[in-house]
Amino acid sequence: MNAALEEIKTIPGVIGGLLYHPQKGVLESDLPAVFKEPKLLKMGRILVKMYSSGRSNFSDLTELSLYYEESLVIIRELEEGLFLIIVGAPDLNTNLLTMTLNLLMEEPDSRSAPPAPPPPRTPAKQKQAPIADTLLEKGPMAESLKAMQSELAKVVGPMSRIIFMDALNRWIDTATPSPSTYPALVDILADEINDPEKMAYYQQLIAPYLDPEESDADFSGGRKNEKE
Amino acid sequence: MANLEAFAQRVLKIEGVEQFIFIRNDGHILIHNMENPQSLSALTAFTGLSGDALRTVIGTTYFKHLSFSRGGKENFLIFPLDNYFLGILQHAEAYTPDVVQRVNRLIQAITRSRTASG
Repeated sequence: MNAALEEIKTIPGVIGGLLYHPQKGVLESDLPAVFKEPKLLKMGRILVKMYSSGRSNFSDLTELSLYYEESLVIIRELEEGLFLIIVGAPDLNTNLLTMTLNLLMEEPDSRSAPPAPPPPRTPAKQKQAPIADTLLEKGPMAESLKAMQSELAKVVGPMSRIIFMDALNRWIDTATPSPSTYPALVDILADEINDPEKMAYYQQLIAPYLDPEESDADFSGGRKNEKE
Repeated sequence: MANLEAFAQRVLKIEGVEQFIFIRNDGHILIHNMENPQSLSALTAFTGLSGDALRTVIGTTYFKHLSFSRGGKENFLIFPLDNYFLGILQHAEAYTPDVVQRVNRLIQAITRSRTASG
C-alpha cells in the first residue's frame, strides 16, 4: 500500500493520498499533518457515498474527480471496498495520474506490498445490495422499511433513496436486521440526517412504523423500548 | 420558461454535450433532454451538495465542478450554479477538459450578464 501511495506522490501536483475502507476507516495516509484523522474519516465517508451513488447510476464508473479553486480530489475503488483518495493541486496532470493508477491496478503486488496488512476483502458488500433490496421488497419488515424510506423523502428530499439504502447497508453490516434492531437503523439515519430538528420531525413521522402494536411484524420495541 | 429554454439551447450548442439536466439543489428538475432524468436528477443533487460539503471539510474555496469518469464512455459532469446544478452527459469521444472549459465559459457569461443587469 505504501508503495502505491509513494508512487502516486511522485507525480507533480499530488499532495498526498489515503486508503479508505468504509468499515475499517483510514488504512493509510500520506497527506500532510493538517489532514487529521477525523477530517480524513469525514472525507472518506462523503466521497465513498458520492462514488457509490455514481456507481448505482453508472455500472462502468472508474473514477470520481472533484475540482475546487485550490485543489483537486479524486476517488477510485481499487478493489471491492478499498478506496484510494488522492488530493492534488488544481493543475495536476490528471492524464498522467490516471495512467499511473491504471498501471498500479494492473500490478496487484503494489497494492498488497508489506508492511501493511492485506486489504480486507469484503464479500459481504457484494451481498449487501441484494439483501437491502430484498428487505425492502419482501418479508415482515418490507412494509415498515418502505414507509421509513418514503417518510425520509419528506425530510431530506430527492436524496432519500440513496441515503436510506446507505443506512440500510450500514445497518446490515453492524446489526442483525430485525424489528428489534430498528433503533440501530434509526441511529444510523440520525447520523445521516445530521440535523436534530429534522431528525425529531422524522422520528414523529416514522413512530407508527416503530410501534409494536401498529406493526404486523414481531416488534420487540421502538427506539425508546429498545433502550430501556 | 423562455429563459430556461434559451439556456437549454445554449447548453446544447456546446460542442461535446450529448445530454443535459438542469435542476434546483433540492433535486427539482427545471429542464432537460434526457430519456430518464429522475435518477440522474437525484445523483446530480446529491453529489453536487456533497461536493460542497466536502469543500468545507477540506477547507478549500469554491467548488467548480465534478466528473464521473466511465472508462471511455460518456463522462457525466456536474457544475454548481448558485442554488442550481447543471449535469452534462458528454459525448464519448469528447475531451473532458475542453467540454469543462466551454461549459464554464457559458456559466461565466450567464453570471456576468446577471451581475450587470443587477
